[in-house]
Amino acid sequence: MRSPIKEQLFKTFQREMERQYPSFALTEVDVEIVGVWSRCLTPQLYIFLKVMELYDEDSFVVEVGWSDKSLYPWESWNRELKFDSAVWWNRLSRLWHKGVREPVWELAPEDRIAREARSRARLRNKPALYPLSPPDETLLERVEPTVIHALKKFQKYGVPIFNKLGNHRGLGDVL
Amino acid sequence: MVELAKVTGAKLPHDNPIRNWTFEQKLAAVADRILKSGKLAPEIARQLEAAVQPENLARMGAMIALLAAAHAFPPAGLAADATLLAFGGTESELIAHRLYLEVSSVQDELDLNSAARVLEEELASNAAGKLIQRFTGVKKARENHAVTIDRKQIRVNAGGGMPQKQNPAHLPLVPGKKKRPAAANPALPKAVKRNQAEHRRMVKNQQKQLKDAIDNASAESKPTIKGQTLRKQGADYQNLSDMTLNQIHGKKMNCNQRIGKGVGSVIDNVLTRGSTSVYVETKFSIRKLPQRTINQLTNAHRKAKSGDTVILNVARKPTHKELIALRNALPAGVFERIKIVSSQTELFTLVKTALKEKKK
Repeated sequence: MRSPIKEQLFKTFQREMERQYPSFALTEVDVEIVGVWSRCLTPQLYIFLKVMELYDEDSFVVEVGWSDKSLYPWESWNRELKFDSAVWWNRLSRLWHKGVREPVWELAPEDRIAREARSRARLRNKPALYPLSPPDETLLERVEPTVIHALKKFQKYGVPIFNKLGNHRGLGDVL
Repeated sequence: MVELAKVTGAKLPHDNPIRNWTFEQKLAAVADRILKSGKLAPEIARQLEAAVQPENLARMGAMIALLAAAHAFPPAGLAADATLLAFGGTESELIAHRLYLEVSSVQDELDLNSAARVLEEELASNAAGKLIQRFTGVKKARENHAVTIDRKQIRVNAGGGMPQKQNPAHLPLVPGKKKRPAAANPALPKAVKRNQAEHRRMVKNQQKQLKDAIDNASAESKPTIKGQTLRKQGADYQNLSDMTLNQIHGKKMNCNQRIGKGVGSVIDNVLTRGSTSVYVETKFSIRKLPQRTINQLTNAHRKAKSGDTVILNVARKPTHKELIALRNALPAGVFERIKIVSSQTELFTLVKTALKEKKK
């Protein structure tokens, strides 16, 4: 992802998280992830929302998870949703989309459309064209609506899981 | 089988470090490894044996002198090829020349294995030998050009009835219209075969398409178009490889999986079946090795348990030099763990096999 876009994406997520989910705090920033926001439910239970850029594309993915420690459980690959598990995480889009290709939040869908066109062209032995990606200004304008869409999906698919987890652990609805 | 002691004049000096071996000793060791593998077609194996016979080695000595003389012509390899063709090199000499180019950079045991593997793959790649095709390309092109002219004449004169021996259907095809051999592995899914066809075209046309994109770009976008197009070509190949990996049934695949911290913390694919994992990092080329790639492979190596597989999927097949550079750039033990593939069919087969193995 282009640097100015990533920067804007981080700022927008930070602002929207503070506005919509003030109980979450930014806990981690790394070069290849946009940010991890977490909330401590008990000293042995933390819930997380992670935003990760896709390196070669102007796209990002969102992950949700919990852990018995204060760090995002990326080293655990347990995707099976069991509320007794000490750790769990999954891509947010995997909570509603069961198909082969994982949906991602694209800031430049033109690039994907052009890529699909190139693939078709190659199979027909025709020239594959590489049109310019949209300029930074265009993508910067698209950041906010895309972040709001991602957080709506979090509200619809992520929050119920955290509430079920809270109920399962005797904490009631947590969000 | 050639008696390799004839080549070296003595047993290989195991007490002497490989970097101190003579060129003939290194060559004998590489040729020995290739021939012992038994993977070569008999005709190619015969030519390889001929290439390392003392008389051919003597001729190669002269060729090496020519190479040294041609060193001023960049690239030296091409100058040497041209020299060989000008001298009407035989197929055995051509193989000897290729051996020279690979073997001369051998420094240690790993290099010996790597050179043997690279050459074996090239020599065994098809019945006619892609290697020979490559090195005799100029001569063949000349011959085919002559054939094309003949065919035109035949067409012009065809009105009065065509003699059977001049039927164009029986003449060699012109370059670029060679009939491809039938698919080697009919068990591959159709989608993987289609992806392989796309892969071939992607690699073949990469430079031309990059040039076209730069030529067609507006003045203000010129500074960024090259980087952007290269990045897109990488993303195209990544996407194609994802589609191939999706053809493996019964696996769980995670794309863009975090496996570490800092630069190179995310790897392209992690496939799991049961307790077995396969880590795949995809690159268009490894001509340049950024720190990110090194870290990705190192992280995958660190994360992989016994029985797991780490794969570097490179669209453009790495050269021996690139492999050496990769080995030197990686921490000890990582390169040996990595399997390098350069086709969609190889990728599919290797991942499928790796995921099956532990299940048994």
